[in-house]
Amino acid sequence: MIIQILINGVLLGGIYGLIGLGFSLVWGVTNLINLAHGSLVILGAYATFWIFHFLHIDPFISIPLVMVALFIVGYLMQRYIFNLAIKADVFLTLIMTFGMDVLLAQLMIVMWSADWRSIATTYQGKSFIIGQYLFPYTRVLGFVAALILTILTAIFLNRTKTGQSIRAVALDMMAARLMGVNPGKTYAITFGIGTALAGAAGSLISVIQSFNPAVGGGITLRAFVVAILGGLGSVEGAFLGGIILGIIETFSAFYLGESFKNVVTFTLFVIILVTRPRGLLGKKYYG
Amino acid sequence: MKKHIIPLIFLVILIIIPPFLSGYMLRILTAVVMFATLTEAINIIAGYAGYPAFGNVVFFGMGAYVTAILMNHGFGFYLTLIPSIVTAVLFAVVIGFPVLRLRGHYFAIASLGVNVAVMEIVNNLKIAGAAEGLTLPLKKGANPHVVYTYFYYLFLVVLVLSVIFTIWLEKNRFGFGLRAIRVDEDGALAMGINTPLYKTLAWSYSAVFTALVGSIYAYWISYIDPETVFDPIISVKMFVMMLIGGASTVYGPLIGAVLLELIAEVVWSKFVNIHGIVLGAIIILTVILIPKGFLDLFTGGFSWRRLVQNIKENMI
Amino acid sequence: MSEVILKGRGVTKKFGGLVAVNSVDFDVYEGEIFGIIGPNGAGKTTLMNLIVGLLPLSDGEIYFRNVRISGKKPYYIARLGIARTFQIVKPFKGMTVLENIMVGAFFGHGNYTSYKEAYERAEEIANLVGLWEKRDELVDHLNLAQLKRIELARALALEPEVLLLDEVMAGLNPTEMEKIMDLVRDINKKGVTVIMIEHIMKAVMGLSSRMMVLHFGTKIAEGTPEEISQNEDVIKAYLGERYSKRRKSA
Repeated sequence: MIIQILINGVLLGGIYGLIGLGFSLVWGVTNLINLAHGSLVILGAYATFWIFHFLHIDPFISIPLVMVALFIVGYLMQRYIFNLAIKADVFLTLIMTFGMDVLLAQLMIVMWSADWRSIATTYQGKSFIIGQYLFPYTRVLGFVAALILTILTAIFLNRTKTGQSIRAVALDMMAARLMGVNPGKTYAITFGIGTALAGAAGSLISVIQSFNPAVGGGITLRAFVVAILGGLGSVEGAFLGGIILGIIETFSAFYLGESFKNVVTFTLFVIILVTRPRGLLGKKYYG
Repeated sequence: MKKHIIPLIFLVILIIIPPFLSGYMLRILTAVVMFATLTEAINIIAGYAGYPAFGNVVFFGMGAYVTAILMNHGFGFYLTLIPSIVTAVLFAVVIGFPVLRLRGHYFAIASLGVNVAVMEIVNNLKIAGAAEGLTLPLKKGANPHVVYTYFYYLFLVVLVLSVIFTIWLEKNRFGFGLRAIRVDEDGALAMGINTPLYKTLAWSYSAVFTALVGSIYAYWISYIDPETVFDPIISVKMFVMMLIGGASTVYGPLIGAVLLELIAEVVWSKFVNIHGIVLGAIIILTVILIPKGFLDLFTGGFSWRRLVQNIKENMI
Repeated sequence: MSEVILKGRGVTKKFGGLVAVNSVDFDVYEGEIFGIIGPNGAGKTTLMNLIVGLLPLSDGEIYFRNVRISGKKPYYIARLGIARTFQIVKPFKGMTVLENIMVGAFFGHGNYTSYKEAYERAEEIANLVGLWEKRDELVDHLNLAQLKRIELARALALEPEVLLLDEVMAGLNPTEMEKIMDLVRDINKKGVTVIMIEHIMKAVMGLSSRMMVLHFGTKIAEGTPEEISQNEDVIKAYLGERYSKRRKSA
């Protein structure tokens, strides 16, 4: 039984890792704690839902489409809104992104109502069995997709020119500027990538659970837990953080009950924040 | 003394006005007074001491729940107020000790985490009615207007107390300590300020007023559930009100509360659906356009250049 | 000779593998001006942070009038009567000159609890350090020389018995330097023991009765300004081997 729970936890954790990756990338590079991250994930879930609904494209196939759409949303949001106050006190930018979260959540309710939505694929609820353990197709595909996207993100940051300039800005804004990097644009691209990853995570969530605009807040806080669990600062770290959170949640849901899962997650969240060694706090990430 | 004359005139108006108001107007005014107090309370920790307590609504929810639970066990309303305050202060001290060691956004997020964690715990607490919430005994009175006037005055008393406290703070050693902490914590330590103690005290005072308001709110609305009284958006509204009016001033938070609550009320009544959209937009615009508050914008005469300058200072 | 007011034994601070202050002993006598000099990175400011409790010691002990202060909280040490200034000025922005000084008066050794008392005390100090004209201005608008005076004023408002000055001369022009030196002399005459940290030797030489030289965290010399200026090790540390050899052969 324990092994089965572990498997479920790891599979869920992959998606959590993806949620945390976009969040921590944006935080590390632009110093923006994006409280609208969860709403952007849900926006991705809706995009997937409507593409499936009208065009009958499979959720896993539509991930690239969703990512492109969300990248554009994120790019514009950072370029023309968040960049205008990016140098303000951190708690001001925190409030600003919270405002965006409130706005997005309500916008989605106005457009698509607060009804719970879910996507019924033909393979939903089906599983394969290895030994005595159950592997649901949607969860396994979700995990694999999350893993692939994490690897692609790492390659992008390390191997491409744009990726290099993002890392340069994260390390030393002044030096990057001198090297001809436009920080405003780089921030927008970074936020766009973070949003695209959030959108992809939304696609994965849409196939494994039902959602509505109100669940964004819980997702944002999970992104935060993942980001700090993984030690903030690397792509692999975020993925690992996701896996750890996935395992913790599955175990606490099993042993304490589904409704206590959140108690454990958020208590853990506070404890990690308080006990994290000071030295990590001021560091520049993703450099 | 001079700068308190206009507020005193307003206070007199606030005291004599209820009989002249419709039920609807009285409800709006009560909400304004309630938010003004909450904002004055968050101003102590976030404005003066500079610790952005993003989860300050946790004390509001606690106050509401302590009153609701005790009244359901036969206690009179006034008897629930002391336990409400004690609970909030104990919590502020116990949680504050570790959490107030964090600085900046880490504190902000941690206090938000505390808020959500407490909400989830209450969601599972049998004595608190779990997710279904609790109903409180109704306040009896000759007619609804009398009952609602009673609650209005209760809120007003707490508001006046919080303003008096803040005026005292301005001219007091404690207030000087908090302002020093906000600017430079190492400098404050070197000046002989017991910063851990001061921060905890500041949060505790903030908790006292917030919890009192929560207690009155529960009795006023007579039904509470975790999602409503621990809603992070209440914290954010306090924050935005403080910013609009001007942080670490005595009357700024009150101005902010009036402005935002009135706007919210107009929007709420006219366009129920897009309430959140407008609120979100106001929050974003406030941060971008007037990060230093309305008072700052208008001191020395309003000019558009000031707005542009505000943006230029913080943009990339 | 008068009594030892501040005593350090084996004071050590390690940052990871780096030893910033290496087993330093020192005795500061009541009423003197004690200079601590050394090249950049010698561990002077670290030593000061150790004395006032902003950093914990890795090893060793510090005593103030035979009371052990190492391991105590900075605000406790400040209230005992040990005040400091910061090399990188740390004024409380958004507050006026007088308000800045009042913070010191409220929380220091003098323990002024009422607003009025603290205000009057701050006025006296503003007058003493030559900030009277600026007393109601926001510190945000002051220049560096004035900010250095704020640092001094706030520290004085604590009514310290020992005053630690961290490079109060740095960044000042010769006239301003002269004025600060006079001020330090005045303060010392009122009975305050002064410890001065400088990396410009000249400034300390003129003021100190005794001094100590740090080099890479280690004490390499101690004595009167004359003794220090003749000391081979000090010359080496400051001017390098070659200069020292040339001097010998000459």
